Amino acid sequence: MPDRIDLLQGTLDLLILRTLQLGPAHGHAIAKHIQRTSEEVLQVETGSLYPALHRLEAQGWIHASWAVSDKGKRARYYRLTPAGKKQLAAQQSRWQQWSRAMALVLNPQSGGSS
Amino acid sequence: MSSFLRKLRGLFGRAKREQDLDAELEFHLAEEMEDGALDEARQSLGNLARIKEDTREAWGFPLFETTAQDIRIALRALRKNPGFSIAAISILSLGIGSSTAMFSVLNAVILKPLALSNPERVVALRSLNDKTGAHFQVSIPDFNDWQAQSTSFESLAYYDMREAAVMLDAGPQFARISAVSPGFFPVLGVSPAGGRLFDDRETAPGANGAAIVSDAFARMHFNGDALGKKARIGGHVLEIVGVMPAGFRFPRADVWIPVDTVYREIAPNRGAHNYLAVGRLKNAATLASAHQELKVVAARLEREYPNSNANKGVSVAPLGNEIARGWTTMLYVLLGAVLLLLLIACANVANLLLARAGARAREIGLRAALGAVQLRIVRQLVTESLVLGSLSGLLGQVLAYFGTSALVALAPPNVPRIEEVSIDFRVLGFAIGLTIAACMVFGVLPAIRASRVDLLQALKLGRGLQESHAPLHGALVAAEVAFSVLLLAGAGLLLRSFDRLTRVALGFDTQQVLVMETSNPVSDQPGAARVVRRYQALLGEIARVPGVAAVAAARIPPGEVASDGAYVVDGDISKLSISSPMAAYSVVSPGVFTVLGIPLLRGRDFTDADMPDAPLTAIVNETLAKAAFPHGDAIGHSIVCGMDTLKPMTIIGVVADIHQKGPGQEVMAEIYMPYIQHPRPSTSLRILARTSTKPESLTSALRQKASEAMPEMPVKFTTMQARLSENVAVPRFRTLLLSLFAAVALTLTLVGIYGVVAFVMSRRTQEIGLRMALGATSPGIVTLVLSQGIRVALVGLTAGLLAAPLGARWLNSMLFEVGPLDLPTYAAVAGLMLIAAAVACIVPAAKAARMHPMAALRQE
Repeated sequence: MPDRIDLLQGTLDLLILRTLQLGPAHGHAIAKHIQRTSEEVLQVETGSLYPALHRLEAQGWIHASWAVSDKGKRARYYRLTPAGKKQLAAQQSRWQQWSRAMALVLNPQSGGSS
Repeated sequence: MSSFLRKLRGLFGRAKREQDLDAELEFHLAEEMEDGALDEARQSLGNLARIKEDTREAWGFPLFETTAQDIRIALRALRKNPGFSIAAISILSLGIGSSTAMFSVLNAVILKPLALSNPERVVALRSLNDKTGAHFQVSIPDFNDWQAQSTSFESLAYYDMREAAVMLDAGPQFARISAVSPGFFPVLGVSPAGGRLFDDRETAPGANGAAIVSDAFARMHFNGDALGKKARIGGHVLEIVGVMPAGFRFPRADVWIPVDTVYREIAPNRGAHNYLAVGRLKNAATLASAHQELKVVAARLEREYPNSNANKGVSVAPLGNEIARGWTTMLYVLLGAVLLLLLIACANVANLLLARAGARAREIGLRAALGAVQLRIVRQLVTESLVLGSLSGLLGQVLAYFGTSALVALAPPNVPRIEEVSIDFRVLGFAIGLTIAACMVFGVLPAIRASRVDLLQALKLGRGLQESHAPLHGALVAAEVAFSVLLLAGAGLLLRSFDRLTRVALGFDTQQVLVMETSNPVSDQPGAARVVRRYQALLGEIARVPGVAAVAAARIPPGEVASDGAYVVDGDISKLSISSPMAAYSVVSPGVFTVLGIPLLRGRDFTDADMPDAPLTAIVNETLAKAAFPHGDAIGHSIVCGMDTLKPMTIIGVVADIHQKGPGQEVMAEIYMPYIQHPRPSTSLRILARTSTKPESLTSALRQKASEAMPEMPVKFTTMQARLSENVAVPRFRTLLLSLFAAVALTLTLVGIYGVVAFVMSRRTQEIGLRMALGATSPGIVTLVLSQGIRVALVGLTAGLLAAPLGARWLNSMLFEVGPLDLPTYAAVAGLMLIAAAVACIVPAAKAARMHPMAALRQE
């Protein structure tokens, strides 16, 4: 098992929004998706996930509704709202700027290509 | 904004959201289990409450949310502990209620602006003795010069006040009549609610005049329809031309008439200070600038008229202050006293909270263990205090409502503006501020203390906490004792003063004297002479009524003489000024000294031979005789005073001194003048009848005689006893209130001492058991318990006794023959407090002494 990395403050929101861009999902699925896609490096704690989901919902970026899961159980599905899409675009570009800047500082020889 | 609305909406539908959250997390756990992620599932499960709490924070306003939660918890806690809640709420609401009631009276008398337009620009003007600082009424010539030589005022006016008869269609009535100069209503800035002000014709000197009446008077005597109706005063038939708005009665009048109409001015002189004056400041002027200007005018008058105006200055004060003058200190002292009472109540409740915090140590420990931070716990406890305080505040307002009515009913009749008592924004603000302040006082300290939990101790025993509270308990109770000592000392000083006051030998006999008040206003000298002749006949008739032993009359009965002024003997009347020696002026009929048992020391009483055309005569009291004629007999000398004539009067007798102005005032020089020779001041006499039966039983007989002899004269009856009791109504009022406050304070303190001793003893049960097992006797144990209570009381007593003399300075003006450092009072207070402390220890001591050593040792 690779080393787990604690999520940076605020990045969880971005990851959730990005995951929901693929389509509606419930909390557990979101967490699993993030873990899987990050090759098990990023661990989403339940204790952070649900407060984050509810916070995003309160901000109007995602919307929740009850639906039946593929296993036939009732689950709370989240999907991106138009405002959420805008927010995702903004956060994504800010994150890319930041990670490019980090790369520039950490690998000055590589001339900035990432 | 839309997110705000969402949050707001989120606050409702809360139950649904809770269910959703539960279902959502349940689903999550089920999924994790299914994945076989048992570790994660177990971890999530363990943190479920925390996860929920954190998630909820995302929903709504967290502060609002937790506050609502705190309030719910607080209400639950109060319900669960009814004994504590009832005790705390009743103690606090008593304190808040009585403070608010006291404040609403003070507010009406002192703080409320007068119901006039721009009341802050209305000032009262008085003559002032520059040497003594004494205030005088104003003479018309002085007033006219002030008006002519100043520029600070939009308008100025003078007025007076008397109670006299008004003849209405329904019969004769007593009414408070104010004669006012033309500027009076414009100065005050009020206009009639119906009708109009006086016109120029009605205010012309010597005119017939007209009347304006108060709303209350119009309602009482004319069913509210007074305009155009007639009222007769002193033979003048006056048309009622205006009715003032409800609530306007300045200066406590029922009827206003123009000056110099019904009551003619006879030869105004600068020494006749018969009027009060008011003025409205121009916008450009200030109180100080107006005062400065009038000072210059007064100085000029002093140079111009050195005889009459030497040392005569002028005082200018806001009218509201002038009305409240003489009442402010007393009302502030009473408010201060009741606030001390509230502080004691707060200390008591703080102690209750501390004791309860001990009992709740486990609960608080548990919450701390579950991760509640200290600030959160403090907030919870403070919220509990605020909830407790708010409930007490609400109940306090109900009590304040009744308390205010009680105060108004109890208050002496002459408290100014007492009819204006009401709940306004000032009273509400005071009540709310007071409630919050009280919550802080009693709530914060215990809250901070309680939140400092030693977790382990608290969970194990629920005790670690309590031990550390004992000193705080003691300190709070000591503070209670100190505050109580202040109140007791104040009450003690007032009680001793009042006792002295009621024991003063007035110098005359007040038993069995019926007083019949009468009034016959007249406008001229011949009219007055006619009235006086009728009085003479009436006195003769009353003397023949069975049960009347003797009868006489006086303008103002002894004990309440208010009229005084300067006098000179054997000399030059031009020397008469405000710097001359002063004497009380009494106008009496022959026989008054007999009726009241005042010894005639030398010379003779007045007789019916002292007629208006005979040489003027006067009787003086011993004080005047000694002061004016230290080396010889006063009889035969002449005396002049400025009451109604400057003609010299021959002294025909000397009588013993009496307290002519009431028991609280020093005996002063006094000049008695026969009413027949002074008809103008004698048209409203009090007839004094010494009876051989119960005085009240003769009222109908006297009323009958009066209506036969003088059908247009209203009469009302009191007794000399009742009048003198009214004389001390103000000291009685403040003494009663302060004693009541002190008694409640002492009771609360006794409960407080009991609480702390019982508490300490319950912590020392085992120790006492051990002592008993080792041979300590019951008296020994009782002494041990007593020493607990006495120790706390001694600390508070010392602090209180040190502070009391400082506080007593505020009482100085209310003390009579008792100094603020009166040792017997302080000794009595100390003794009372120690006895109270001992009484408070009886129950815990008895309990401790009866304890079985083995039972005590086994306990916990």
